[in-house]
Amino acid sequence: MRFSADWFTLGASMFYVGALLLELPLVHYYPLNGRWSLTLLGPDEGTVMHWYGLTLAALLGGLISAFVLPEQWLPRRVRDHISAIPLLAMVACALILTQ
Amino acid sequence: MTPIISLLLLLFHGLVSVALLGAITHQLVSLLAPAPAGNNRFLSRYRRTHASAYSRAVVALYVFNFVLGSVLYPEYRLDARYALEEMQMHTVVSAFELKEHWSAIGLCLLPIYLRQWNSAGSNARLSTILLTTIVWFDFLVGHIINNYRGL
Repeated sequence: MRFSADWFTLGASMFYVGALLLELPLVHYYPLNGRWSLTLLGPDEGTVMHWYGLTLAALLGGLISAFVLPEQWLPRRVRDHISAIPLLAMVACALILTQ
Repeated sequence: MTPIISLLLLLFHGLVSVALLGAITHQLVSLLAPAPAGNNRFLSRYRRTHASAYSRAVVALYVFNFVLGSVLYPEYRLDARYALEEMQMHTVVSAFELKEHWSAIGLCLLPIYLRQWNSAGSNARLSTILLTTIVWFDFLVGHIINNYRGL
């Protein structure tokens, strides 16, 4: 099984921004009780943290992309400018935060 | 987590950040402004480092510090963030939110950063600039938060 760094960066960045934009973290963490949940719980559980779920979604999406998608499926133009993808993701995160 | 463990972890988090800052800044300077041969002044020797030798150390320090930050993050949410919001420091809170997102994007960037540094003919300029930006931004925001509220 071959790991593609390009697909990982592309997939993980897109999954992170997508999950942030659509507010779809993979898991939710409630630090007051130290409780993890796949669904949003009630307000009795206290403050909720989505960042772990977003990061997990990005890593999982990136790993699946990196191991499953063949390198040649990545358009040459994207491969040549692959470092620009995280830059776009950084700008997107900043823009989403201003919404 | 007990306060003393939080404090020690925070201190360690800061120390690892400084090591990471030093490594990636040194690498970026030697990449963008390599020193001319024959000049032995301090800045020239600083710029003449073997930049690619830093890439694995940078990745290891980044991942390690990311994990340390993830462990400490709930402490910030429960103790520091509410206090900052009560003090109306919304800019500081927003800066921390951007820090958490950019640090995750930095994690996504690591495989191509490493590949570009370790394969001949690859241009690691943009990935190194991005990673350096993220590391400096995260460090400064973390430092500001620490000055305001401990975590």
